[in-house]
Amino acid sequence: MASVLDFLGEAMMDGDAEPAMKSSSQTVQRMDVERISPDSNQPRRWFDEEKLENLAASIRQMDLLQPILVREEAGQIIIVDGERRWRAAKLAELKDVPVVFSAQAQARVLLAQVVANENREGLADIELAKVIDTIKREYKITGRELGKLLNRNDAQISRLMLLVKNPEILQLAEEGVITCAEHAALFAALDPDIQAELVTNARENETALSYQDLAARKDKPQAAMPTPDLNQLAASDDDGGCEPVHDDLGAAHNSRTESHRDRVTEHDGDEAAIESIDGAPHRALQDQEHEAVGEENPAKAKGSGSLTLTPAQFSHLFEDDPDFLESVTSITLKANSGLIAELSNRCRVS
Amino acid sequence: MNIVTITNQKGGVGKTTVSVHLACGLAERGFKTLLVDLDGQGQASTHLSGDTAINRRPSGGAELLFDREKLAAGITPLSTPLGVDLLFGHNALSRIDEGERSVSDAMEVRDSVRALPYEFIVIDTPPAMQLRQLAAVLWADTLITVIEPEEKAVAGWTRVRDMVKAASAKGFLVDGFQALVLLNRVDTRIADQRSAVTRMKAAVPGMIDTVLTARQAVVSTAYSSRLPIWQLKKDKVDADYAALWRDLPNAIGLTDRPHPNFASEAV
Repeated sequence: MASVLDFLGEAMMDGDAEPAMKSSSQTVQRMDVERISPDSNQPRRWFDEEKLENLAASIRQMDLLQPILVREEAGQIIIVDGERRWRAAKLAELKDVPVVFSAQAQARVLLAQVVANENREGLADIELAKVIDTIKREYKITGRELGKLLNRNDAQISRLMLLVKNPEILQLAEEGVITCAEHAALFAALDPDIQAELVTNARENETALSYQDLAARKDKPQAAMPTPDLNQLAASDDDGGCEPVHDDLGAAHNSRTESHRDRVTEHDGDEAAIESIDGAPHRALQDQEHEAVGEENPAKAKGSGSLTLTPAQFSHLFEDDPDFLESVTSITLKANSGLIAELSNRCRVS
Repeated sequence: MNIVTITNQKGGVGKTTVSVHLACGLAERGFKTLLVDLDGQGQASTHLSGDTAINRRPSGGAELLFDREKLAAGITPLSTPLGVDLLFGHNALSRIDEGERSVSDAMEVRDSVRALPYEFIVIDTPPAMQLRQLAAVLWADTLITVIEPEEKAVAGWTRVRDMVKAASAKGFLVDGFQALVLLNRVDTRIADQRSAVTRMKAAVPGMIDTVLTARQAVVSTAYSSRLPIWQLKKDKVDADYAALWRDLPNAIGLTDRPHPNFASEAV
């Protein structure tokens, strides 16, 4: 038995790992059993007394090893996961039990407040985006998880986030030139010259950019600028406040057989500065709802293909599965010339 | 008989990949090997058997190890194409944690589990520290905790260590029990990870530092091909990387026996 301690030496004997290596969200603390209460909103489950006694017997022998997941709400400590273990621990007459505060559950409480406010006051996209941004950073939870909590799909969340991620757009949103996430997405996809022109006009007239303005400019194909297919923008979008994207928008692009595009799934929202990813043939990502686009990029016949993504889509993909980069042969970035120059400098340095 | 239990305190660090590859590596060295999948997701079971719905089978899998009567009557694990026998993981295994069994049950079956006719039993565990994980520790000769070089991992490892200490204090561990920490290094180009590796090495003497890189695409390819990494076609995987996985049983000291391909390569 001594070998355990031999092998791991000091580390097995020491107390806790050094505090610097602890992450607050994961920290296990012990808490008085009586301070914790079950979630009254949980559908009451029936707890088999015999099994509870078995669990209590194990706890008497080895303590409760797996912490109970809790959240704090209005000064109360409420069980998120582990009511059975909590009951068994009481049965085993444990005074205190290990608990971990659930960041997700805590974020959910916050979000519930946000949603309540949103329903009452009609929270603007920009406000919602800021709240999400804060929660994301504070609780280290992904956009996808937040989307689930807020009942919005990935595309809607990433579109919202465009409002706060891009400083230029954030500025315009604060000014009131851009009024909702969908407009931001349309705006971001425009040529920088057109963007500047629209902004100047809007500022002069003290009006917000309208969907018609943005869509009209969008409709004109811009030479040598591969554009995501607006046809693919999901009709499932219910951001509210903004007009839906119409089907006829994609017509101009449909005639461009060389356009880099493909099924872009439900990450459909925002087309900001555009990059295309050239790589191995890729399958449709997730979306089962859309039919495959009729025309193919000619390059595909030779075993490779290309895909144009918005930055948000790209970061989603990457967040989800960083491995896919390994099969990609090259990535083309599209942005204003200043940024391109800066990025190319930075690449040369590193 | 050597029972090797693989744990972690966080999903996605490569625990299941390590379990499957250790089991395959041992089987290919000629050892009679059983993989016990205590994880209800049954990913290791799918990798070995090819059955993607295996975890929806209600019984006939890893729960058998907790059943004294069935053990006494003799259990028949599944045979798999990769030469490893399998007690598969399935959803209903969670009942074990929910009070269907107790620590005493786990201790009572230990001798029968250890008397199963295998040279190696590799046990993949669920990431929660409940009875299934504890039982697998109590039955084990070797406990391998797979961690990634990140700050949180040490906190997770500390909890495994505390469990081992508590079990040790009660005299619940197998004689000769040893605990290893397998650092599944992800990317040393990331400064964060470099410093975490340095600190972990200082905090955990004897830690085995590998570059198994659980997130490599080749791991998914191996999973979907239902093969161990070293059996993938040469154009799919770097030979050195494949050899790292293949020789893992030697690297962590489970056996001195080289893989059959090891000798032929040297010629």
